[in-house]
Amino acid sequence: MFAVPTHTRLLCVLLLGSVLLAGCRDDGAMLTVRSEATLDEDVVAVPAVAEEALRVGFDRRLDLATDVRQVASLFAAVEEDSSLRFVTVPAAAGDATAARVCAGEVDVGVAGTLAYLQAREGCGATMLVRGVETDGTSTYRAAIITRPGSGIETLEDVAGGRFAFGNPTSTQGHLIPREMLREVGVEPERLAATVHASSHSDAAEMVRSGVVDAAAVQDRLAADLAARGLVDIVAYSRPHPTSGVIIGPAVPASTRAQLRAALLRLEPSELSGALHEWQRSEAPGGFVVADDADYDQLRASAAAVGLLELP
Amino acid sequence: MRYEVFRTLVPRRLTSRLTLGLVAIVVLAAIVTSVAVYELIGRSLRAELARSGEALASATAANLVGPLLEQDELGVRAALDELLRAQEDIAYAFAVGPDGQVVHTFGAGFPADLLSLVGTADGLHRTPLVFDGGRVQHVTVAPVRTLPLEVHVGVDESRILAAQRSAALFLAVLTTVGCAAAGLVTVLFTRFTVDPLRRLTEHVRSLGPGRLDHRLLGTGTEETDELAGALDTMAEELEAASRHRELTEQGYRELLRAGSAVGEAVALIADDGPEEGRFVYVNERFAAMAGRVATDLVGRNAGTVLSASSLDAVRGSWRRLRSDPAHVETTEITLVPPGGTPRSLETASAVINYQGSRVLAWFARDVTERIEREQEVRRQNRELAALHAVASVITEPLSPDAFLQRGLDAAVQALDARAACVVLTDAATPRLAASQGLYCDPTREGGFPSCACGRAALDGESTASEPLALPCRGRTESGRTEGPGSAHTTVPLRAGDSILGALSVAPGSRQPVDDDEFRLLAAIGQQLAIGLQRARLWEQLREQEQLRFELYRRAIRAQEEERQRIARELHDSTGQSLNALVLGLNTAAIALESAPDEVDGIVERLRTAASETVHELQSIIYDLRPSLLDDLGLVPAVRWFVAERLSPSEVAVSVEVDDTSPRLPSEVETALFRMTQEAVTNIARHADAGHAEVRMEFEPRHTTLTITDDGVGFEPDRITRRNGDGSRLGLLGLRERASLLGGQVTIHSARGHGTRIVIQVPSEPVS
Repeated sequence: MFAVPTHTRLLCVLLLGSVLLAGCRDDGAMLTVRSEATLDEDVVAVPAVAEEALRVGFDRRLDLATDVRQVASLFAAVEEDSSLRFVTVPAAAGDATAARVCAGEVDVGVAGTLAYLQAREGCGATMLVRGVETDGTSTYRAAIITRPGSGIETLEDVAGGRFAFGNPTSTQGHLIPREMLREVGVEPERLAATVHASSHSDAAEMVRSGVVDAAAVQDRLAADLAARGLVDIVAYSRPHPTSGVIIGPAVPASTRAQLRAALLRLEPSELSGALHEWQRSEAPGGFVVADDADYDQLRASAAAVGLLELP
Repeated sequence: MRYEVFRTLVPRRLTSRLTLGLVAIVVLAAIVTSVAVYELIGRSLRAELARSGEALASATAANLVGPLLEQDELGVRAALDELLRAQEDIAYAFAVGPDGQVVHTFGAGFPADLLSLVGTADGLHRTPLVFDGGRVQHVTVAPVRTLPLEVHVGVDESRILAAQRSAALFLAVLTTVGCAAAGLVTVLFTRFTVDPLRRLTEHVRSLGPGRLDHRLLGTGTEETDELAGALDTMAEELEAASRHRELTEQGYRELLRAGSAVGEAVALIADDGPEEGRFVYVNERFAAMAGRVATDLVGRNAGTVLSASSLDAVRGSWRRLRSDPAHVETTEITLVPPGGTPRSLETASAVINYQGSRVLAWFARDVTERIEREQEVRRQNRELAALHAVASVITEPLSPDAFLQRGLDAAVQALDARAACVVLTDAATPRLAASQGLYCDPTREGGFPSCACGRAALDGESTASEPLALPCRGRTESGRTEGPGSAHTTVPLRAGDSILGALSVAPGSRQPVDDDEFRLLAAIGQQLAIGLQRARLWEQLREQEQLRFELYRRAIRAQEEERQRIARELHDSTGQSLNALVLGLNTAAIALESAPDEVDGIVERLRTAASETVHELQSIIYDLRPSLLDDLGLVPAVRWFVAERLSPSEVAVSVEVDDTSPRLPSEVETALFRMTQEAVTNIARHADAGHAEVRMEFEPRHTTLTITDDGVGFEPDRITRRNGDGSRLGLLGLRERASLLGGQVTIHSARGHGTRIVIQVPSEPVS
């Protein structure tokens, strides 16, 4: 053996120990993925949905992404404040929320008054809460607008012209304007042409672009456009109870009570960062308790114009 | 033992140790730094990559929400492909829509292993994984809560690992070069540092005993120069200390000589080393006190010249001086010269250095005479205290036994004695009168008074005896010697010419008493005797006072009884007779008119009744005071009473009195008559005598009445001690009456030998 001084041996031991310590790493617990082991088709299970989660559907009012984010943020806030869990089920174009609720596709619907009346009539769905406007009221109106200088000044003047309603399931865009026109004797057959816009914005745009002579839109949108001189407001409807959140008949009463309580506790002013574009929603000021009797007037109107049946 | 391994591993020379230590420090520092830098770079790059991956995934997910909801597969795929093209670190990306459709960037199909990561995200989640052998940070984003929609991005770490390896290689090379350079510098530095120390060591070796004046002259600013300067300073201080020590020892020697010159006894005793406890120096004065010569004492253990009682004091003093060398102790010790008288020394002790060693120094002065004077004063004080204690008891009104016990207690306490007793021998039978811890039983054979102590006490000669246990084996005062064990001393209780008893005392020290203590005991014995006499007188006086009180009480009661008797007799006889006379006179008055013939008879009966009434009245008056005494004088009255009182008892009586005797003052005659009544009544009642004689002799200055009988007699002492006895009170009444006239009564009587009472009173009553 070589004669190595003891202190040299000590130095070597220190060096070796340091190197070994520095090289110690552990990759053994990590997931290993092999690219060659593939699926037969590119369809996987729907990402995790809790079994007890309530499925949420909604009326499409704005663009789909905004509608989804708005509704999803609302129920994410409810999840934070309760033990309930939700999954948002996007609606395809043309899907009616009332029909989805009655068909059991969704448990909860964020829908307009007409959709509620139809679901109530169709399967006994319940309106849990209805929205509160920014001014603190829980009513809303529809407005009939026209292009500035069109010569239409009253509702009667609309007769004979081209008219744009909103979505057939829309309360402000269809049901209430039908009631307004019917009250002054302007039935659809007295109009030169009618068209259903996909949203209030589309209806207003049709008026501005001259596609139609008048259109029915949300009262706040009408006021905003009129304030900028883009349209003239022909008439406002009487106030009607706002729409809100409906729930299907299969949901247990205790779950309904929990959800109603959580929605009533919700304060949008305190959740401004969490609720997505909530000022554009039907309940910018939160929710109040809804009573089915509040909607008797509109129920009668819907019946009169044949809109109570499920689409 | 724990450090033995290190001792074998570590080189022995300081230079090698320093070199090895510095090289080890440099190498370890380099390794630790390299590893730390390697890890920090890796972590920093990995964190940066993760952040960028998360940002890319979040942005991509936000952009894909709409296309995924709209099920725009082409739009989604285009966005994902663009992400891969734009970001070279992105290994793969895929998105899962609400319907479970996957849009991905894998060319060969979606890897099944990634399915486990789908549906696990709630917001943003990052998972490290190994993808085809390379490390990947897998980022999962769920852009909308409650919406089943996910975007997954795989961020490749290969670029980070490559950069990390490059850095590690660079650090390894740098560390190796650095270590080599550091080793070289260390060797040079060590030699540069140690060389001055080596030179300094050589210089220091040149210092030593007798060469303290050698200087290194370190005046530079380097540490070695400062060390050299410090060593120079130390050498100077050592040299100064050495000189100071020599001067100090010289001073001590002069101090010792000066102490000897003024008569101080000086002794030095070694405080440590093999000579510890032995004298290393004594002056002539000390040697003379110890009864030796100085040369004999040096080297001798100090304890051999000390008394046994001084050894403990010296040891305690020495112990305190060792714990506090600056302290000076003052101790009193006793030297025991061979064949001489012990000498007491007042010694001041201190620990000093003498000829390089620590010694205990004694500076002593002979205080033997002073101590003896102090002992004498203490003894005298003790004597005075003892005498005072006994004298204070004398003044108290106590019974004789109580006085003896109290006096004995006080004497024992004042003398600090162990035990004592007093035996009285002036009565017919010696008795133990008082004791404390010493049982002197005079009834025991061989005890008092038949033992030597008792005989000596009865003879008036004090003894000292030993041992304490009876029978006493004491010796007379002239032959008294010390004896082993306990001893007691006996002194007589002498009052004037009479010896009342003996006092025995066992001293507290168990040593025989000396002459002074013996004289003290004798004085105490004399005081006790005087006190005993006084206590006896006091007791007699108290008894007389008690009897006088009883007599007064009985006189008052007799007076009341006499009054009651007179009243009763006046009522029962004289009163009734006078009432009968009144009734008779009324009858006579009536008869004068109604029956004049019967008046004479009635008057005659009334006369007879009146005569009887007068007679009754005279009897009452005579009982109160015989008229003979007033009318005819003492002698006829005595003759009449003696005959009247003793005749019914059939006692032959003779009265020898000169009938021509002169009349005495009334109170004297009355007293003598009443005393005669008392004595004669006692004979009639108690004496059971056959003959009695009453003699009365008249002399110019006094009159003597002697009444003698041949009856049963009695013990005068017992009679006078009995309480509540009528005869006792009667005899005491005699004495009282006699004492009121300035006379006295003497009673001679014994059982079966009759009684003779002699009453002598002045012919004229004292004023």
